[in-house]
Amino acid sequence: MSNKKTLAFYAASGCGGCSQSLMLSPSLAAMLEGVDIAFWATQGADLTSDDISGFDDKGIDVLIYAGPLHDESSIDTAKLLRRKAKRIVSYGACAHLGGLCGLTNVYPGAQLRALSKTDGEGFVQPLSAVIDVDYILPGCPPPEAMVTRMVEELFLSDDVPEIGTVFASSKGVCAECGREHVRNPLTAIRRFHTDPPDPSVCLIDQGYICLGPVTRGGCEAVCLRSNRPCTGCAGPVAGVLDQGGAILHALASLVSFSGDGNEEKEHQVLDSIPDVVGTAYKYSAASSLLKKRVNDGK
Amino acid sequence: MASNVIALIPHFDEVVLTDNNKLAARVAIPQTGDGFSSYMRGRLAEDLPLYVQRLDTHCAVSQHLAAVSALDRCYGASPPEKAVRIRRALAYAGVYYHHLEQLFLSRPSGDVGIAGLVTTDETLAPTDIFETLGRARDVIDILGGRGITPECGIAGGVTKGPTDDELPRAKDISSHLLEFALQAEKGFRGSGAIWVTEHDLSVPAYSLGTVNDVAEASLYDGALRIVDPEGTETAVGGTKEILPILLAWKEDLPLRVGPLARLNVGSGASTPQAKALQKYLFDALGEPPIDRVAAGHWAMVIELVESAELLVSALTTLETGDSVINSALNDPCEGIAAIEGASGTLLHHYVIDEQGIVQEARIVSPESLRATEVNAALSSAISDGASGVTEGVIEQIVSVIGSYQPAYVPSAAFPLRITLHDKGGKVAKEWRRP
Amino acid sequence: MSDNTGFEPKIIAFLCKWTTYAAADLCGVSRMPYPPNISIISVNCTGEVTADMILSSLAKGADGILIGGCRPGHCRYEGGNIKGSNRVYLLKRALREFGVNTERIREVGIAGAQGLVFQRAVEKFTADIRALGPSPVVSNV
Repeated sequence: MSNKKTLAFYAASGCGGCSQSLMLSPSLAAMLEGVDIAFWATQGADLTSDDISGFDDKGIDVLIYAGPLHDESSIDTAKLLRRKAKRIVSYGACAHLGGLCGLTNVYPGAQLRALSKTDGEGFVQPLSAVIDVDYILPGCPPPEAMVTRMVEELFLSDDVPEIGTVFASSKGVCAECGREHVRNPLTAIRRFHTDPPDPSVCLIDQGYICLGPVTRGGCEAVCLRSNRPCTGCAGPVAGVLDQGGAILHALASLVSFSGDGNEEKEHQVLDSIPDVVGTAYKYSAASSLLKKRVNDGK
Repeated sequence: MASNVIALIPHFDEVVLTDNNKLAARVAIPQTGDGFSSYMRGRLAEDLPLYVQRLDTHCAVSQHLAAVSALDRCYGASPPEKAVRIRRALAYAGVYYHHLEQLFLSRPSGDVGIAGLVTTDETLAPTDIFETLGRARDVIDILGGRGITPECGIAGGVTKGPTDDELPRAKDISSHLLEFALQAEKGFRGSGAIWVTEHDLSVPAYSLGTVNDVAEASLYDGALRIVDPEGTETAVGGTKEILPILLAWKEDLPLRVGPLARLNVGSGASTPQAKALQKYLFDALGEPPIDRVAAGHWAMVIELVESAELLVSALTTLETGDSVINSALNDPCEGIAAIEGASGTLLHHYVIDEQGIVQEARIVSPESLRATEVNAALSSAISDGASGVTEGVIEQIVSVIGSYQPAYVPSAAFPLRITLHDKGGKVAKEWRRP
Repeated sequence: MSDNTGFEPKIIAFLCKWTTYAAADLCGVSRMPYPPNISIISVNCTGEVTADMILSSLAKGADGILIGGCRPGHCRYEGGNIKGSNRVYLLKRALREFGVNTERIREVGIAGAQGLVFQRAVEKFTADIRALGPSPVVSNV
């Protein structure tokens, strides 16, 4: 019997970006040398529950799971995979946070892709809502530097990473951004396509909504280097539970502050923030503390 | 490890058989209709290019650029020359990335190549393929601001241009990409071409594609053109002329898009080396219009060369420095744009309100257009004496699907499911491909 | 008004220790009863109340959230109360999108000496939440 680790990749219905990001890692070749691949599959397409059942319990050393959970069958498969795998990596924003599909939890009738929701009850959940997850690799799709770190720590090193490791920075995106911080109050909300930002100054200081302060870094602030705001794909920074709530909290703290108890002006600025949930909870609605829309009278 | 070709045809997520008096089959179309429009309603206009590429990251660049073009129209913007050039180069890099990924099936489990066809040439090892795919991704990263899912596109321009360090690197990579494409084409001609000649499923169909000023097939922008199965032009123009035709398209009229359609709509490839390589294809299969489904794979290999040639020349037009990369925008309204995406013609239609919030977002995707062609292929394959749904019929369906792979471009990966419906429309029997 | 007899709302109160909490304390020492539905968490300032605290309370079953600080202009921390109030204002916009009735969150400014005001505020809020009925949020979790 080979002493190689057994690796499996499983993608529930997703866009294919996670699989690509893993395959394009410069350390892929090194990883493949050191592992036996049990399967490299997308939901239903390559292997059925029976096929998965055929593996020994804990027979897979590392399972990389990508994509959101959205119905009974994806939940059952996730539970089955949990039995078969010693370690599970929640890979990419959908598995980690619910991803962009999670906004469908808030807006009834919305569909990003044709997820086969079997009934009205189905809603998008992150993997960790259903099974214990050992490691997390954030990002939509995960950036190269983080993928490389995961490959190195999981497959190329003799040490086993501690359970709960997130293969990203423990600091926020701001720590990697490098833009100048000028501490302006927020007096009006600007949009980067109608009103392009100064590429050297903090976007929030210029009035753009950027999720950098509340989002886990490790991406080298890739979006900011393109002169665009961070949209939060890596999920909340360590210590924060609700990414959307945290950015709203931060923005409300930055409005120009009259302090006189007459907050009409401040409220006007806050009212002008467009698409609050789509902006603050873009990837994390399904893993937010509220999880989905409720019917609460008004 | 044997490669399971069927497993890699995710777009055929569902084949529906209707067993009335006559057996008919159709593929279920991935949804980009009302569900998507209501997903986008209320979202920010500038986020459209971000959302649409997560519909299908295999052609993320095409989706991104189609969204950006439609936003240009919504905001009445004309992007400055530099931005146009950056987008163009990005588009070609996207086609290259897409084709390479589709052609080589991109699985690290060792079974790469069109059913192992290209890799029979020992000069192309799987690791070379992954490395080259990675380098194509790096060009997308340089031009689009992020690999796999670029993000530089905005209404009226781009947010970023290549820097002094990046541009020479992109140029270096692009010449490697061209070299690799030429090698892959040679490898394909040695073995894959034989496979194509052996798969003789032919579906006479109309072809939709984009042509440039001199009527050559375009891999990014130009005029939309439809030709009939004999190759005669039936329509040409912009989205204004073509969209109504597509919306009124009869389901039983097969319409082809993608590499094979591009072979049929124009006067051939737009670059010298690709043009020369097309001769081999025409020698083997005859002059266009070509109806042989599997020829789409060959056409895709030639487009791999073409997109690399186009990328190399597009990069020579780029400059670094501070020149303007976006233009002022007008008040938003409705806008429609089409681009030639890697997997076929792609139309995006948006309605944006005065606050810059999405009201409607509709996408006419290559997959939905192509369904007419695939349905015709399925029907012709199962009609011969089929009196019921036997294992033989299922096999024929699977064989049809095999002819489309990989030219029939995968989106999100879904299982192949074949269902038989009774007269009431209920599922009477179901097969899942194991 | 819906019939919610028998429903005992769970209310979490985040109270500024300098003012509203002191008022609650005063109720205690003065033997002025207020509804037992309320569980008080003392904070240094309502500016300290994060979105995580409010949302976690809802997710863990709170039917109502009372945030009690200083009256405007009386904050010990140069307007932490007003910043806190701006945060709640913006968070409510998101809560409405999630379908949550934002009347479940109420802000009050009560001075330390106003025990009676506190007593009445809690009575009123408890009655209002009872009328709203149980929060549907907890069923998500």
